[in-house]
Amino acid sequence: MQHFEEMKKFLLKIGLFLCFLLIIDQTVGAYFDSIPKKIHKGGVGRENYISNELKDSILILGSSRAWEHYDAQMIMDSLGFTCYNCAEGGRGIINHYARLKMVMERYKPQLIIYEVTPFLDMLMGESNSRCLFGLKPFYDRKGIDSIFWDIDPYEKYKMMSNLYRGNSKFLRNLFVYLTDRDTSIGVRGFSPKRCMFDSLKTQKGIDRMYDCNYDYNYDEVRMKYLSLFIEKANNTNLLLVVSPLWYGQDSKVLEPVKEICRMKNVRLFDYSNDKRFVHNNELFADGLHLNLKGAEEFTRMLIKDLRNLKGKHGKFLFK
Amino acid sequence: MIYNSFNFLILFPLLFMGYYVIPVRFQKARNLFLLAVSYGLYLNWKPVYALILLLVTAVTYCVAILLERTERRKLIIWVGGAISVLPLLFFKYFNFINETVYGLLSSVGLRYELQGLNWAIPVGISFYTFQALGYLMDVYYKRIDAEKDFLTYTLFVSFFPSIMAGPINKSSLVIPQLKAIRLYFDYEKAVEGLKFILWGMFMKVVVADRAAIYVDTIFPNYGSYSGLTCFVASLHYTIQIYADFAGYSLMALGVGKTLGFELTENFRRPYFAVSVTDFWRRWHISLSIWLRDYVYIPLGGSRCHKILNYWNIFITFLISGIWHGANWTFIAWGILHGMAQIIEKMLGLQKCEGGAVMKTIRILVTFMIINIAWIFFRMPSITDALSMIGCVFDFNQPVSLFLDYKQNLPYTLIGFALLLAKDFRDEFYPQRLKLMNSEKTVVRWATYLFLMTTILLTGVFGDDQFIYAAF
Repeated sequence: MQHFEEMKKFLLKIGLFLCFLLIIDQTVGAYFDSIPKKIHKGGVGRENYISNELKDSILILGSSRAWEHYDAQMIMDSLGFTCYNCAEGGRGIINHYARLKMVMERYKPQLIIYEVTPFLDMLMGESNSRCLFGLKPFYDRKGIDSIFWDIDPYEKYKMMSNLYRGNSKFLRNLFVYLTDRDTSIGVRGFSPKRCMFDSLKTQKGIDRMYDCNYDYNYDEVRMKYLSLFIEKANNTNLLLVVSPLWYGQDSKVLEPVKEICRMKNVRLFDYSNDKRFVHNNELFADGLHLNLKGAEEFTRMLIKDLRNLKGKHGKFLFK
Repeated sequence: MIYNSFNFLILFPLLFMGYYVIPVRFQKARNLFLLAVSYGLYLNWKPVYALILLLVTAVTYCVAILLERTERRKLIIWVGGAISVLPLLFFKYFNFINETVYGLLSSVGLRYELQGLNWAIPVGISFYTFQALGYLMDVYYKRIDAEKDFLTYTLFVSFFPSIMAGPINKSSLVIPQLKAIRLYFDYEKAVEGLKFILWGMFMKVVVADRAAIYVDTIFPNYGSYSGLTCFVASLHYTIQIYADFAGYSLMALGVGKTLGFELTENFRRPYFAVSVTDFWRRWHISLSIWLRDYVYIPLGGSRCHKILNYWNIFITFLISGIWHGANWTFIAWGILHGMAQIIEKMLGLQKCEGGAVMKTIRILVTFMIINIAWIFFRMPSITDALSMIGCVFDFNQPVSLFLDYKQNLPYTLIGFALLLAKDFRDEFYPQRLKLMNSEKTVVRWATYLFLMTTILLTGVFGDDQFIYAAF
């Protein structure tokens, strides 16, 4: 009998512990969860701006190669249309699809430019959970939660916790919110690499590049989200781009996306093997990223081609 | 069972309730329930490998009984032991042996290659094989009687809290608990168990998995980073492997305790060791005891000529290295530890008789030796390990340090600081500043809630965390 009483006491105490935890989750957790929404500067402020306020005509999305290669101010000045660089490093197509979804809930841009990065957007590689990074503050937005569940079904339960939503971000968010110090967003979202060519890093990365003929392993989930992205963005005008690489690139890796482009009548500009750029140390910071000079050269080149780009209606977009 | 998984949060309460719903007078039914759960969880990984587990269990069970009935004990123990170890050798070491032999034959111009295996290694095979072998040898040395009840013995070998990653329990510890008339519910033990699970989860999820993010960024690309960065990464790995393994062991002990069982303590603040010899009394204690009782002492231990004693230490740690993995790096790691202990023995440095300053120096020196040795453990090849160590000690390069100070570093420091504070207190001031064991309820509960909140806010729960370094 005594042991039954002890078991009862044990279970009651666990219940009480969970109640206290729930209170902390709903108070402390809710406070940490609310902070990102109040930040208007720096990386988090930029995310909020893109998801809640942005209304630019031309949007650039993609990985760090988009972030560091596309000078949005130059595009805006040349073409006369507002332009914002919404790219974000290391995230991949699933993340960019979510961000595009949030933008297009509010308005339809004139043109969406997406920088295709095969090893983040198409090929099998690191876990797709990485793409959820930075999306937690927007979990409650329409259609974003289903992306989480698609990648990891347990996110449905984990995201019930406010403390979990602030996981690994609360310190930085608190710091930025209280000190108002983060200014790392560049001009119109463009953040170029202002450094010299790193030959050691480039040499080390050479075996990461797919410049030989072999069968590529495509990630089903990533390809699905690439198709969804193209479908969503194709409601307006969409342009897929592969900006220059120091290494050059085996064009075979892009075959699946070329096929989608053919089916959906989407343009793909592939500059990855442009002779002016390949192995040109003056224009690159490393094997994958242009430096400031390279980004300016590339943007000028892109602008020239954009002037000849026709929209869905068959007319030139920028003439 | 992976204790830091979402499944554990759902499954464990169900197991707990299922076990305690069975009245205490149905002892056998309770054991049967635990056995069904143990095998059920094992089958969930890969059903066919449960047969390997059952094979090792059946062989050691039969051999133990035979040992008590036969005169030819030495022959039986050798044959029985060899059969029990065969699955471990086959699944874990076949490819390694195959590649090594092929390499040796190739070097003398003979090219004969056997097809490698593309099979996964059965989960926990190193642990349960050693656990079963340990039992067999205890019966052989007449330390215990052979267990006649097959169900009890099967449960001992497959006991789910410790099958996946230890501890390697002694049969003399666990089997009597399985056979004894247990209390319906031991409140104190269950509470202790939950504390173990909580702290173990903290170590694993907040400290180990956080450190792993940095380690997994630097180690595979060590050539792209400075020596200082490589050194800091090695420190991260040293903490990671301790927090990971010790955290997991603690959770296993905690799960056992909540069900009323005492399992073997496996870690005792190893990085406060004053020598490598002392380290092995604090690190993976269950394996150290196993190696001492079934390898070192049967070889002669220290009750022999000095040179033979050094040889016994060398062989013991060679086996330790081999047990840890099928790669020359693990063997090198084991040999390094063996050699360090031999040198300590030669110089009489196993213990530290000096004051606080000398003790601190000895702790730091031992920590550095262990830290460098872990590089072999982590790297895929000896060449890479030596190369990284060379990088660490190359003082001609510019001093630069890569740290993700905006994102990862603050949480890493929180975890490291709390772990260091607790271990320091446990080691040097065990009676002071009791938080989880405070007499005041408010202090205890505040600590539990603080830890749980910290786990939720700073723990790593999936693959969504990474350092934006390469891209």
